[in-house]
Amino acid sequence: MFFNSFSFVGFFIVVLLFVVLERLTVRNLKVRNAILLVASYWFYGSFNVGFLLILLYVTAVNFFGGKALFSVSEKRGKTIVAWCSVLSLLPLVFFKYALFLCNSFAALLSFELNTELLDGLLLPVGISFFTFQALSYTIDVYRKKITSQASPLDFALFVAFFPTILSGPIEKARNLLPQIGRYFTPTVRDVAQGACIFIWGLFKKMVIADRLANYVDWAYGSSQYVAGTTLALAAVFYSIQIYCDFSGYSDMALGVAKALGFDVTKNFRQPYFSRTIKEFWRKWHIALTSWFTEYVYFSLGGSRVGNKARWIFNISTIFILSGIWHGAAWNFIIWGALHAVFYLCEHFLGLQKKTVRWNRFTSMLSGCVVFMLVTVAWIFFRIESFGDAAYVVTKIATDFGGGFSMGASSFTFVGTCAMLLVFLGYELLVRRRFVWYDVTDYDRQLTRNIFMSIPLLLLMGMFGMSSDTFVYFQF
Amino acid sequence: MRKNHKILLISVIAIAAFFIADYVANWVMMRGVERFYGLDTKSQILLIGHSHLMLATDKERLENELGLKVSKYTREGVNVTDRKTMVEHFLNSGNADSLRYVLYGVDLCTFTGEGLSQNSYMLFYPFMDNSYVDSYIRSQADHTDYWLHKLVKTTRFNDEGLKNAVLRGWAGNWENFKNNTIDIDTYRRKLRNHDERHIKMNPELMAQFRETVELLTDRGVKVVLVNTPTFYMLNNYEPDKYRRMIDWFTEYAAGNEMVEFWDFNPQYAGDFRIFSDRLHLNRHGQQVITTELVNRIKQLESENAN
Repeated sequence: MFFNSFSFVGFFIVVLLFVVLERLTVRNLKVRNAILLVASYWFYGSFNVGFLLILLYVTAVNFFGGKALFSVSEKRGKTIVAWCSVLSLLPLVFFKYALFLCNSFAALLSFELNTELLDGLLLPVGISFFTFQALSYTIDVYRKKITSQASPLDFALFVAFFPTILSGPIEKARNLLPQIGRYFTPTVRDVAQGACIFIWGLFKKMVIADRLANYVDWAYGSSQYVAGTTLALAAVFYSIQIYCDFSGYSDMALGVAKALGFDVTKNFRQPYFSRTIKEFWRKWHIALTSWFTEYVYFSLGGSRVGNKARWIFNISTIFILSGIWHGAAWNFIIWGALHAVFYLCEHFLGLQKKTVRWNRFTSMLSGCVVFMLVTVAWIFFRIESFGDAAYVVTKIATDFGGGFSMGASSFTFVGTCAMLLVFLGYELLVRRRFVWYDVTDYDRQLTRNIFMSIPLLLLMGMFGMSSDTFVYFQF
Repeated sequence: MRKNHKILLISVIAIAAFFIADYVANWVMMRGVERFYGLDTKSQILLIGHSHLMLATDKERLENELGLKVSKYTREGVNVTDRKTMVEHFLNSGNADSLRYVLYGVDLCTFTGEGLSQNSYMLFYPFMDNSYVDSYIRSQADHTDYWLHKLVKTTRFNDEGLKNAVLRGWAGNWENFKNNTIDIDTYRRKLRNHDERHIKMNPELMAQFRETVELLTDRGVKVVLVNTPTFYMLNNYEPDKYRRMIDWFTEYAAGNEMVEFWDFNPQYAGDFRIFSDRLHLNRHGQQVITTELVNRIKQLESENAN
């Protein structure tokens, strides 16, 4: 049951009706949360009922871990939080990294390994997201950022909350839990604003990401036959594709949550308008960046360490961990390492300093360089084999002679470019706050948002493609 | 509370505006698509096929030089089953009384296909206001798909070929825009990597083909099976299978006096200048084949007159 399916729309309408019905009859927080929890388990179970066991396990570990933390000394708390982290990460490591680790060790020690059993493992959808979300509670309790214990029902709903369970945003407990613990029902304005945000996300996914995916798949699939210019265009398209795919999903999650009255973290703030790599990471996958910053980077000492070498180590660790989080493959590690190099180079050039004066020209120039660097890194993210990715990069850098190809159909290509222009137009409107696809402060813009959604719906009907997957579902 | 009522009212107005915009957009697109395919014309000649025939024929020249109306109902990627529905659609459009010839595009991959297409009905969504097409789609599509396309008309045009047809229909443009010639070196490399489709003779598709031809010949319409040129390297990829395919069409036409088979490969398959790629003709190739078609149809006309 994906967000971009009719079954999800039907499911959501039923959930909303139950929530409204509860408001009209019972008016009880526990009943509302029970409805949302059943809906969340139903939604998650629709992918594979067996995955629910893992979700319940992670929920239980962190709930009891958190409970224990409220009643022990700080010294014992450290042990508990360490155990909770290990136990929570066990399923993630087993399902996501076991095969990679076995193969890597086997290659290192030069022996053959029968990985037939591990090959057949299904990665539980959303496991990286809900594991990190659950862990944020335990760590926050340990750090005394959460002072009151959550009820089992509230905590289970926090971990399984269906708008965010599959691909985030990874909510911190101190943001979502208080909302779960407060009684409210969605207003007509919430539903209208949620629908507008959802439509914007759906447009980005169906009309931009899925159309670009066709060209990118074709170009990388025939990299031997096409010119470097075509591969360069495919690389640029992939940058836009992955942004629209993931930010589209995040906006849909945001919209669904808003329609139920909940405000969840906005995961993307137009990252390709960034002037520096540092700024890019403040606007890209905000929830994950903030999770790693708060729970890993600060734990390592952050920037308050004695020497530069230690700080470089901390920064590199964060980026490489971020790469590993995406998947058990060397290409993700290379992607993370590349970003670490970009970030550090930028730091030593002093570009991230507040004293740097930007004018329109330098902003645009720097923005283009950032986009280019990020795009090169995405090539390694997209293509699994290092050899193939290096071949593509080399061809882009050396083969400009052949002219670029429009792919299987030139009309489709032109249509895709036209949709990209529409998308860019809307992005500029969002940037100028003519429309406002955010969860708060939207009252003035709501009428505009509603009417600006009409062209998006019509274009989705005519140009949308229905894909049954999202790039970030594999993570 | 008042704010909520206001938003509710605005939402209702927006929904109404959406359906009005949807209706107007559908009307505009429908006129374009009917004009492009010639579904609004009482034609004497109907062209049925996929991009192979589409790029090989100049509708305007055919009409001007033959003095006959031509409906060019050719769509990208349509298989034998789709073409049967296209023929039935045209025959049920109310414009079929004057039909005399159907030029049906065939090639070496006509019967290549893994079973019958399950989604062919989607090609006919724009025409679902026609009762014949509507009942066909209703029998094929699931309820959600059917009602979505019934209610939101613009979704019926979610196909690149259709949108292209709309624009070109309104512009009155049936030109072949392919000006390039085939890149022989790249194609040779593809063949060396065995990166090419295999010729198959799927019995289900052959049965559908026979039914389509009979549907037309039973009405007294002459069916011409037209094999517009395909590049010689493609034809030589599986030479035995290719020969068998051509023999089959030749024998089929020989056994039915209302059917003819025009094969342009012997004359043109080796002329790289007319090809845009291994299967499709460029603008120059289109003019060459249109001249051939004009001459042969004139010959048919004079035979009929005698």
